[in-house]
Amino acid sequence: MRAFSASFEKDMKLLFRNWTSLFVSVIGPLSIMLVLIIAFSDLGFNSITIGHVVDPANVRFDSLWPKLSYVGNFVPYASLDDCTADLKTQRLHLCLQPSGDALNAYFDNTRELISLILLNQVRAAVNAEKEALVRQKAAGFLGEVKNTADFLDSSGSFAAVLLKDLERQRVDLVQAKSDLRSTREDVELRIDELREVRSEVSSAHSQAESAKSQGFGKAEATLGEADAALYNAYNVAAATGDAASMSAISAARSEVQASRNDLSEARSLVDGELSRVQKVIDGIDEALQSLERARDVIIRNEQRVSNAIETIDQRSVELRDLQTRIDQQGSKLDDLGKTSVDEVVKPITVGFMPLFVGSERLRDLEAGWDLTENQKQRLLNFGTIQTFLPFVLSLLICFVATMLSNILLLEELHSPAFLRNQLMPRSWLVSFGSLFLTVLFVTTCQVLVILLMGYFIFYLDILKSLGTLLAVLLLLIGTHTLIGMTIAYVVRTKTTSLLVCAFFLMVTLILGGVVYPVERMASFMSTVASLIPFTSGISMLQQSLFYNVSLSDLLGPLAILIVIFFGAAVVMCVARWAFMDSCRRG
Amino acid sequence: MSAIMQLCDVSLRFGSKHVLSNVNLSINQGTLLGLVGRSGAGKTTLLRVLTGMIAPSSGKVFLPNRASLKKMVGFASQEYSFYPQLSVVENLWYFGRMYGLSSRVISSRIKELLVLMQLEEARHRIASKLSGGMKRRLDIALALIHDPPILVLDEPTTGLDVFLQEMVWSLIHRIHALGKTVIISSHDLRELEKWCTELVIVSNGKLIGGQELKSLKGARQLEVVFREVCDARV
Repeated sequence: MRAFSASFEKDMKLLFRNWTSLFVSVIGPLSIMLVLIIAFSDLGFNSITIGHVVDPANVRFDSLWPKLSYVGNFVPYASLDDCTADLKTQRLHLCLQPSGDALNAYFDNTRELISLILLNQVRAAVNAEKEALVRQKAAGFLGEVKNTADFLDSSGSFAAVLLKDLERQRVDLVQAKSDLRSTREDVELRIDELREVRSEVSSAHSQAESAKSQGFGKAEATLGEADAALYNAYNVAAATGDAASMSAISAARSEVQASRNDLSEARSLVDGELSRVQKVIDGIDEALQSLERARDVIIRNEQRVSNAIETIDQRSVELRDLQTRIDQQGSKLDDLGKTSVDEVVKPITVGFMPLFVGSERLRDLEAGWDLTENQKQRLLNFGTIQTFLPFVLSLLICFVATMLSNILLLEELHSPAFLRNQLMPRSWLVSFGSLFLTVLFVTTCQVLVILLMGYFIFYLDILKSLGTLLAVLLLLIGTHTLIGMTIAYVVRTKTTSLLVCAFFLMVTLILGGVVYPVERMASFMSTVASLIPFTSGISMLQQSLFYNVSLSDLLGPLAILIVIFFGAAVVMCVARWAFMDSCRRG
Repeated sequence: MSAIMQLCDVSLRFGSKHVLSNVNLSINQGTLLGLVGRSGAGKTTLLRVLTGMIAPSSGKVFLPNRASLKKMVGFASQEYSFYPQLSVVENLWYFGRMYGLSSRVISSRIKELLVLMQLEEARHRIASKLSGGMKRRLDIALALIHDPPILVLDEPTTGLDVFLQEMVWSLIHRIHALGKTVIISSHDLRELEKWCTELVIVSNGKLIGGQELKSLKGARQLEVVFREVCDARV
């Protein structure tokens, strides 16, 4: 124990009396912290220049530039070639070229990170502009839909009115048909009656004709015969000179003649009456014809009315059907018309719901203050800055623990006292342990400083997950300390060893996904990344610091880290054995 | 005089290279033993075996009462072996602790050694700021911090000017006068012949010492015998 404490005390003294280790353990990390604090004091866009090609024929995107003014300065260019030339020489970050309805964004994908960030801003602005246009059109469209719905509604009402009218007309037509039918029936009745009358009259006429013919004929014949007889009688009388008889006969002949004249008059009268009857018959015939024509007309009109009724029925059905469809479509259009513009423009939306929106302490603080918008934005930036802490911690540990253990061990191995230390009657574990503890102590101090900064300056919820944080941090420090020591035993020369450490750090940062996401690399890289202490360290720190994930839930990655720790210890022991063997051989 | 250390058939091999072959050496207490040999003959390797830095491939190193070799031996090499960034006292304190000494013992030893090595005025000076002679004295003081009965010095006068060489030899005498057994390797044959009570020639991993060397040497100077032995064994 005495030897251990003496060795630890010696290591601490050597650390602070050596400029290299002092820089790595104190100056470097402090400088990094200071730089990071200054760098992240104001999150926004600075020194960004975006070129846009001016096309007088296409002013569609002119309203976009003022909306993106917060991103950077917009510089107009006459041609795309000039714009991209400046992009290649890094005077610009983006070149925007309106092309019809599209905005072509030319970006330098060799500067992918900032280019993608800016492209996201441009994309968001273009989407907002597009949404505004679509919203305008959607509003117009929905207005027209509403109008159409109203029109259909009124059409439906009108159709109902028409139906009612049709109903009424049908009723009238049915009535008319009924009237026509009854009229027709009357007419037919009248026709039948007239026919009967005609028949009777005609029969009477015929009978009268025949009676006339017969009667008058007979009478005339009789009278003629009488006249003739009388003539004869006259003649006889005359012959006889019966003047009385002749006078009587002449009187009788005059009577007969008068009767013959009366008969002829009567015949004429009868003829006259008969012709009047005939006229009546003709009249009846005409009336019958008229009635028949009227009946035909009635029948035709009846048929027309029936057809009209059928048509009305058909049209009513169709109109009812049309009304139903109008009502349905109108209802649909009405519902459609009630759709908000938002529902049309954004039927599905992507909600970005960050899990971590700042620590509880920060949110409690925010709730207790009456903040301006600018202050709220700054606090939001604070939340973003808080998320960098695991990265800063892991980077610090990776850098300080690896470099410091490497430097201290190399100082020890190259120290003039190395030979004397081989003579000491104590286990090599004493010096190893003291060196390990020195690095652990120094790095832990710096980690604690950062954690204190995180707690007091950045309002992180450190205390809630302190146990888990310390366990992960100590394991990380230990692992990187062993790695630094292994490099020292293997490489042995100071300059080369530091270069190897720097190379190791660079590879760790690249393979750990800091420079480029691991998920975008080859598939086996995710396995490799999970084995890198830096990456798994950041992951565990994020989970415990921001989401209070307990140690028991981190057992999997923690177990991997422990295995890596012991693996590094074994490798370090083997490297040490090889080094000591070569030293013994001289 | 009793033997304070014995090497019995000690051989050391690195791969196929035989560095020491069947070395037998008995070192008596209170001896001032001088080791000579050509460069690469195995002197330093033998000293490392004597100090316990290297274990022999075969043979044994015997110590009285099964004592620990590292605690029995103090060693100072031709290159200084201390922490240049620490002060004289800090170096002494650290190595005293490494030997498992208590604070009281270390404090006492530091006082004695500072007087013995004439480093009182430079006690708090950073070791890198010491002069050449002071560095040598500090190195020897560190070898004696745990008061070992055996002190091994590997070419302690190499690279020093005449005055410093005299200073170092004077120091060695004072240490020897304290009753310590001193084993010293050097290329300075005249000084070794002048001051050492016993001499050993190391040549190609083998030792010539004791009676064998005495009979070889006779009345001749050590240098003559040394040349003879080394030429013959080439």
